[in-house]
Amino acid sequence: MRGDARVPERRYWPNFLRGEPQEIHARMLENDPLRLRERCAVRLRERWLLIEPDRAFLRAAARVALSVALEDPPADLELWALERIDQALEQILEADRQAELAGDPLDEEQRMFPLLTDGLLVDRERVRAVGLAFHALDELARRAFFELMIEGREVQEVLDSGPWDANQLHDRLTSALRVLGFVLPVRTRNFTDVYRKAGQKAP
Amino acid sequence: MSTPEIDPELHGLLDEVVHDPRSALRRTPRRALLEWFGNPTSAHARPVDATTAERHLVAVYRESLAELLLKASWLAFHEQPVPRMAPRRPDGTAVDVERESRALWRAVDRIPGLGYERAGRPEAIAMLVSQRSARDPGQASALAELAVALVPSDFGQLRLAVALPDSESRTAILALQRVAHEARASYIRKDAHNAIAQRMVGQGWLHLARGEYSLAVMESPQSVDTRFWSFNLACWAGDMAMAREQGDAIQHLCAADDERIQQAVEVLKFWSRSSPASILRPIVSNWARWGAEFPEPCVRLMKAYS
Repeated sequence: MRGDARVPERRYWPNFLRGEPQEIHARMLENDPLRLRERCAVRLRERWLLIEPDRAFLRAAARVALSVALEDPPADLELWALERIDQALEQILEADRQAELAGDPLDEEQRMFPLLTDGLLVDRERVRAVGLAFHALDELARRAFFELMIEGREVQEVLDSGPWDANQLHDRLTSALRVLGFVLPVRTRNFTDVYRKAGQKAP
Repeated sequence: MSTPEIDPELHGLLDEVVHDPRSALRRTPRRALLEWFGNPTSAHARPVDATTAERHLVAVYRESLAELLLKASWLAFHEQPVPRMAPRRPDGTAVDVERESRALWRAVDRIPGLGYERAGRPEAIAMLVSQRSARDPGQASALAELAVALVPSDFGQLRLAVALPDSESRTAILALQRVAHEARASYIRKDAHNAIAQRMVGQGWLHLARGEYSLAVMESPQSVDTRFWSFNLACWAGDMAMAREQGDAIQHLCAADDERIQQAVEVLKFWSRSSPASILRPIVSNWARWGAEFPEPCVRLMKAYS
């Protein structure tokens, strides 16, 4: 090749992503060389999705195993893995939604969500429906729940880092908690007197 | 509905969340919740159950096959000899159809030997392989139908309804109404409303179509093509206020030389050739009366009728 003509860079899958889909799948489950378990847990918190993390990991591992066989090696393996995780999460959400619409009974894996059943006392038979209702909430309600209840961040920190005032943050959190089955009264207090965003002066 | 039984400690906490935020969340059982939620360093992760893992692999085979079928359906649809807007992603960026096509057929070439039999639909694999060589635009709906049989996703049902032939427009409208009502993603709901409107225009139900375009605009105010069609029907209805609203949005969303305008012109030209004069006459006469008041992108769009 001469002049400005560029030879495309030849890319290869790393050794742990070579072989038949079943072989790659077994490797993902045994050694998790792409750190899918950890990435799934992080991604769920970044996207504020209530999916059981083990379930997300198993779907992502299967997704990776088959995608490798169908696709050419990517320029950025980290980004590629993240996209496969996102696809896996979307597939789980969609499958749950269609199953709920069809009235299919929950399988054992769908009932197994200790965060909801043990931590928030959601009935095992309602786990899928509660998850769907939670994901139908707007992003800010899900974010408020994750940052305050899951991450356990301080109210002031969450208030300062989000697009809300104290009342809005409170309302988003309670709307998420209601979806999870808690009966909560409507807010009567004005919390902006209690919490102010950083730099905000008292009225 | 009965109130769930709440652990007293948690109940107290929630009570505080509501009534005294100064202290409430400091006592959230946050450590426990975080541990439950996939802290990778915790002992939470359960040993992998081989049967469950295998079930996920089978599900992914089915989903992957459905995705390939939907892509093949989408390509077949866009290869039909009908002017259409060039496809775009939900974020509005253009799709490189050639690149998508190459990636699809390369993937189809790799299917043999990968274990896709586990998806349990040998006829779907056969159809993909056949479409690989035949590239028959008429197969768009059949491909989508198989995809939906494998995985009944919102997107699959949208693609199937869109790909149905004109002779099945009423069936398509019913299916699209269900998608527009139930779909989780707003871009799918928007596409469904747009597709309903297009089918309604084909049936001559232009007033109803206007309502569907309005719903599509509500789902996705940034969708330029929806604004084009809504503007066009506002001109037909003599609804100056709506035409102005859409015209302003079009001017805001695209420059006068935006390639989407020319694509829309081709679509409108095609539509006008098959539409009766009773529909076209009001558009032309209203535009003759109002045209000077509208921005350049709208002027370019309405050249479809000149």
